[in-house]
Amino acid sequence: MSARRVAITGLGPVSPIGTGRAAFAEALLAGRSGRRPVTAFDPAGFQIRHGCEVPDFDPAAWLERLDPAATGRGAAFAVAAARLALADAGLDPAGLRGAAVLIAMGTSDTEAQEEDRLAVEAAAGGPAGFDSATAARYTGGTAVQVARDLNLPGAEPVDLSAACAAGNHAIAHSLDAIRMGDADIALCGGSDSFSRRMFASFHRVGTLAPDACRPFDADRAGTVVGEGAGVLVLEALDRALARGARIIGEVAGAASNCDARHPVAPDTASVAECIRLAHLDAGIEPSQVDAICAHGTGTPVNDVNEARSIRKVFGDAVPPVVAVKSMLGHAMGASAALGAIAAAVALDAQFLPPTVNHRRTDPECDVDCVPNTGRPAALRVVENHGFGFGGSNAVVLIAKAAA
Amino acid sequence: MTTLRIADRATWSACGPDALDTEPAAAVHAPDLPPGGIRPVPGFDPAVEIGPKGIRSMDRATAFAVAAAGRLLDRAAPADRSRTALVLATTAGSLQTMLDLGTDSLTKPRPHQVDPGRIPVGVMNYAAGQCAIHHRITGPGVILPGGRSAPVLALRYARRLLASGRVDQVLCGASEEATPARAWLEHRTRPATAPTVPIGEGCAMLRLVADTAPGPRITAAATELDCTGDPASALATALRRALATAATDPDEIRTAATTAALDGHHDAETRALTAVLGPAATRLTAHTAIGDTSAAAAAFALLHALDATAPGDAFAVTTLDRRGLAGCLIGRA
Repeated sequence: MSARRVAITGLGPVSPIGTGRAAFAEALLAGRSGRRPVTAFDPAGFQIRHGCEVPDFDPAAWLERLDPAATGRGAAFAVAAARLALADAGLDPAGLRGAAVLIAMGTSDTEAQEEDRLAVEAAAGGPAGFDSATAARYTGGTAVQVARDLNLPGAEPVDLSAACAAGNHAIAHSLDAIRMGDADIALCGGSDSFSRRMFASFHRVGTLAPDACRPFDADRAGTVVGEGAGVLVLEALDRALARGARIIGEVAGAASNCDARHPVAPDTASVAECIRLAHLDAGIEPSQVDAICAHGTGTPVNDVNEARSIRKVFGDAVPPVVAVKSMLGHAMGASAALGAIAAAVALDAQFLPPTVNHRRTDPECDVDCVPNTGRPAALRVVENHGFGFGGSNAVVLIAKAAA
Repeated sequence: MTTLRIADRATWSACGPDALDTEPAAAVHAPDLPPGGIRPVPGFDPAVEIGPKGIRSMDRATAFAVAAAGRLLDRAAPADRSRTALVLATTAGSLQTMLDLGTDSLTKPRPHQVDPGRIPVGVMNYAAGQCAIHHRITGPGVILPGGRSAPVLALRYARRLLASGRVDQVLCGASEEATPARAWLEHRTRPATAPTVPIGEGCAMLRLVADTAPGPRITAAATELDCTGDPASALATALRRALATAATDPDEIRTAATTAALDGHHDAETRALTAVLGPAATRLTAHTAIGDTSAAAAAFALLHALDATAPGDAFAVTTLDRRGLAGCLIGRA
């Protein structure tokens, strides 16, 4: 029995540059930046005070059953992204109740803003100061909240923590679940909110860019912390075709592995191996990949390691390598999901989004990062990278659906 | 469908290593702990259990998992570590580490003055990375954050990794640490109807394979979310779904290991079990002797069910967490 093929039928981005597929695609292809002053907390005392927050997000506009006051920002992002993705797919949540639904949501650290609140409550007198309502929001989970707000009691709601690769892990897991018939439909991706603890940690170790995120640039000096959510609707291809759905693309393959070497420093060989495993899973050769949506954080270490890993797999025939974090910032557990949505948008538009803020390419990276201005391109397969702390790597291949 | 054979198991708990029926360590009470106190794992020394390297900033939940994974791999025949996966359930990783970083940012003279050595420990999937590093596990590794039902979801995740052919074995379990931060988090989210048991800690980990050799196995895992204010019905639905997947008749279940009392759902759980299984199956709550181990409770309950069920007979493990997510595992001892 051959495995079922898996279609992408809906995209739901909640991002600093646009919410909903149309707004996101327009800003992404135009190369807009989501960087603005930090408002999630008082940044007084930090030298760096910018980030990529999602502006003007109103949970009450999205939550139908959950109480906005009892829902963390990460879960509310995820609900909004799921509703957007379902609408994009032409699906009504009520119509899914008879289907086998998987909700797989990646996160770096769950409800990061609620964790910040717990820290405020504990700062004076220790954790005895935790407020019950904060603790409840912090432990509310993401996928469970999506299931509750969409009224999908039979959906399997799983959260996956794999640092900044989590979104790709969620997509890869959903691919397997649909392939083997465990699920008919998956709402998958990732969600994370902007947090002080993460910002302070990145600040402390010098990985925050003083001005802008410049992936693959010779003068890149770090990343910009972001937030948001991305949800993709995946469906068994035959089911999607039967209901006349618009097929945006297919998830052709995926893989994940672990460096098992260092808590934070990436490893060239195992990133390359993860890419190879994804190609093997999709049954494609490197020459069939038309573009790479890079992890591309803009940190000196990641970008050169990622470029070397790509070269180990692709040799001298490296396709364009776009880093959308130059626009979106680093949305942690949502970042790979937003990258996958960007890859699907590019495939759909036959147009490569740019890597913005670019001045001169680092010769050590030596990739065509589509500097500053997007361009038309014939795209059949786009490869989406997600790498995270803990040595977690996950690669997803998104292909144009065969006619 | 692919069922999971439990090739081996390892635990750390208040009963010590690889034991669940000995007298657990006494509860510890202290002014900085909630009223029930904590029930720590006695005599656990990471330097002895893991080795002296790379443990300076390591949290206890991670250390338990690294030690348990080490014992499982040491006892097994050599296997391809690139085709070995690690799947670990937790409430929130090391909340204590995250909280210390967060409060340092608020209280130090400058807000970025957090301990750089603990930054990677505060990332929730630190335990997965550390198990990988200490044991050269280069296959997939994820952490499943969640409540009491997380081990049920972890086992479904593990099954798919095996059924897809991506890996040959999965180290799957759950780990928690009894720190003041986690103890207060549990205390503040505990329903009024739940008993004030001490906060426990430890790790329960299984080595899972997909072969057909004889031995204990997990034959189904299912969840159902209570969206109507009727948790008993949600659990009954999860139970029926899991029994159908496992092709097990309700009256075949000899043992039911329950956990929902810890979440204030004892009555709902009892109603669901009675409605679906009838009164015959023996009810177990032995896992509470080691304290409330949060996301690890269902994993410990699974091991208690295995121990209390005759070889070949069927058992069930049930959860009904504070968010209303019901979970059910069906297996054969």
